[in-house]
Amino acid sequence: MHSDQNLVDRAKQYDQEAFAQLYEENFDKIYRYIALKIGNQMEAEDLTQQVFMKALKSISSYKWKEVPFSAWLYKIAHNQVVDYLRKKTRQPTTELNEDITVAEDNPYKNVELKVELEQLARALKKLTPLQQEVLALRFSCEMPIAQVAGVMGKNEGAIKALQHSAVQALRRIMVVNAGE
Amino acid sequence: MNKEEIYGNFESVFEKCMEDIVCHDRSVRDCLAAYPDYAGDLEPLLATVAVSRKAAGISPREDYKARARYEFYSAVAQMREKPKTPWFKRSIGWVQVGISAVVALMITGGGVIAASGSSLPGQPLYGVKVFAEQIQVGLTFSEDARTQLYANLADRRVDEIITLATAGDVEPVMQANERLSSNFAEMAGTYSGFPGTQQPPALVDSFVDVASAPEGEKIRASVPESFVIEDGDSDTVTGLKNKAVAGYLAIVQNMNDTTGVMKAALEETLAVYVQGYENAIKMALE
Repeated sequence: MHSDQNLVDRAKQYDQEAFAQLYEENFDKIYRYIALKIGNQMEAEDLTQQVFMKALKSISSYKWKEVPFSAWLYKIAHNQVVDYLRKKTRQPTTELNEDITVAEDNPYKNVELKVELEQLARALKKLTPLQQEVLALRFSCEMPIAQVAGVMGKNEGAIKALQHSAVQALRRIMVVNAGE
Repeated sequence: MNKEEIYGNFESVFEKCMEDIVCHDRSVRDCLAAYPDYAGDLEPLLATVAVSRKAAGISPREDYKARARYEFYSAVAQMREKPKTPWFKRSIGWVQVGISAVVALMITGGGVIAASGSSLPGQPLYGVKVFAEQIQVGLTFSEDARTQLYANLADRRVDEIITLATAGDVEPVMQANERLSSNFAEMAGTYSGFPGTQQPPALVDSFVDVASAPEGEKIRASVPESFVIEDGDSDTVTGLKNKAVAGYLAIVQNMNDTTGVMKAALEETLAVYVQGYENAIKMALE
């Protein structure tokens, strides 16, 4: 964390090496996070670059808190995605089918699922916003739970419960989608 | 202390397994085997985690990344020089990227480029290095000069591969192989109507043990026939052949010093290299 802070301090002085390191460490993760949320790889590339340009523009006002620098980038990325989806008004908003229930004996455990990015993004949109966020952060960024907790501003216990319910719901949606 | 005591409840066990699958590439089967008491409940959830993670495991296109990286680094350089200038508010097209690259070069005195000179695939500044090379190619107009430049870039790729191979990094070597292959495809594109750009590299059937071979004729005889300099070869062809032989011997030497996956990676390097140079020499001769 200390080295992260040092890096950010240098970046605030527009130190090229510091920026290069922050950029390389985070670019793919932010890209995957965005791609997973919007389900479109090409547009995710442009949005990702916009995130880093916004970060560059705002770095001078960044104030260090005891969370990873990436949390700030994810916040920018989250806002970019929200703006993008808001503008894309034709985006269908499907709610989770509440009739879907899980039987006690795990009837889905033998179902083979083949999931592409777009399908996954569509399935994630049917989850609650917090469930979407926790899974997008974990699947796309390969972050340990402590870091996810830091990014989302919650404790690890809450994140564990959230991701458990999120994966259960995601499973239900995927199984139903696979059967359609 | 048993596992239940350690992880307390199902959520904790699930989290541990999710962490292992998402962050440490562990298989679902291994996770289930580690927690047989929970296996029935874990299996469908972990299967979902595994397929979702796979679907989410995408990366931006390399050429896009290289351009985006350069654009960003150029913006950093601009900010350092003129931090109050909000030039990045303008819409950015790839034409502007090229212009900004040149501008950044002038402003920074090539600082970013210079710093990227020794970078290797997988390192932060490598994209800058590659993008700078693309600019250099774009500013080289004569066919001979461009061929020479591509040959120099191929040398650079081989140097990178050898450095990476010495460090034992297989994956970057494979990435560098792809870059080398692209390099040769672009080199071939220097000649109009070049037929080899879409062909897969030929496999090299056998390799000589250069380390035990004497200098001179025997070594030269061990390289591909098309690499041997003939009377009447033009300066361009002679230069290409000289470079081809030097690189070939360097790769083979290193290949003989490695085993297993790394050897296979270097074999691919050699296959790409031989095919690339053979095509380039063939076209230069026509």
